[in-house]
Amino acid sequence: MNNNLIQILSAVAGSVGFALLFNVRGPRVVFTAVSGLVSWGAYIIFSRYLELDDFISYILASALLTLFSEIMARLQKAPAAIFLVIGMIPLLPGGSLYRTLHYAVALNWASFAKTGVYTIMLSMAIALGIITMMSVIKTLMVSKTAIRHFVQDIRK
Amino acid sequence: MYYIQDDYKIARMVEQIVSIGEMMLTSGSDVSRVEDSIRRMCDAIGAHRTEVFSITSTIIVSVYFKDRAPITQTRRIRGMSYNLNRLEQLNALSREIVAKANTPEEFQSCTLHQRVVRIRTEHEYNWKYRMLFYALISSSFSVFFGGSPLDAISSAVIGALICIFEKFIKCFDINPFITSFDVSLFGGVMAYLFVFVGFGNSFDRISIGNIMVLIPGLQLTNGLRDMFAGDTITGLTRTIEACLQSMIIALGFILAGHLIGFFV
Repeated sequence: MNNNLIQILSAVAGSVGFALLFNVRGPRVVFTAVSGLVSWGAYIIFSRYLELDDFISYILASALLTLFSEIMARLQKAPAAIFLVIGMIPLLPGGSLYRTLHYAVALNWASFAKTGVYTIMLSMAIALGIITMMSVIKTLMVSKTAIRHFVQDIRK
Repeated sequence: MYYIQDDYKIARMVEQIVSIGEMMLTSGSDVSRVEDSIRRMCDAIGAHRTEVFSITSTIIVSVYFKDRAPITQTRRIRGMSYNLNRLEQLNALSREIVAKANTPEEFQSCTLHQRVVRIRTEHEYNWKYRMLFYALISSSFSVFFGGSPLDAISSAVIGALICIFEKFIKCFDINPFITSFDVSLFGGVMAYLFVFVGFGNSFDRISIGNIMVLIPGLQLTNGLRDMFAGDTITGLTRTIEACLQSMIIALGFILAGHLIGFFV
């Protein structure tokens, strides 16, 4: 099996584990597994096949996951948080955080600074992806009433 | 609008509503949802005006009525127990309250109390299951970060041990940072021993699986969402807490490896 497939499968297994740990019940577990698939699958497509920068791939992956979780929330009539927080777990920069502190303990300050910045950058990318997609969705959701209010205000 | 006669009864009602909010917060909801749900529920029981303020550690609710004294209730929130199923049920309950508030017989403070208690005492997985889940998560993230099958197995075993040790350490009731530092030191020592004995190839790949279990990922994601939803204080507190905790956890594992390396 190739490396990407192994990573995607293990990301899905990890998401299922977290879903069970956080007491998600019934068919929801399957959907949270799919959200793990969406986040890491998107990252792999963007970064390894389209060869985008890690930062951009993280933004796109977390934006896509946010969109997916909002759609699932509508379909499943459940809070979007369930799908978002569990799907986000494979994206968390745990590996680079570990390497950062590993360099710190080994007193290798040059590598520490480099990986540290990389870790912070990835976390910021996650945040950026969430905020971008959330603002698009929120804006679209309230746009109908907002436009009506706006038109009423103008006519006054 | 359903009108409650008794002052005592309405205070109890507000108490139940704040309990719902509190449970939502401890189950892992974002603050804006908690504030919004409490406000809607209070409006539904006939409040003229509702002021809710919530951060991760407190909820303050003031409910004003047109023809009676205002009610203020506060909650201090300690500890988190993430439970997404409970969060979903509470969400459904709060929607139901908003929808049914004008049918008095179906919506009394005593029946509401029963439902809140039922959600609170609902079945959770016991520690045996949790051990399995820890093992599953540890092994899959060990593979995720490039571990061999042997690494995955030892990571799973250590994950299960960590689950028990975490339960034990939590009985000491020290603050969460010290707890997670102790737990990760334990994990690091175990990982080192496993590699030392030959049951596993790479200390790093075993540990990273266990680190991913312990890292407060849910808290980090919620913190980021809170921050961008406008609850800057809560968002910052949660994010910084999560970052510190993850750093402490990773540091615990690495330090344990290094310290044992000196002695063995």
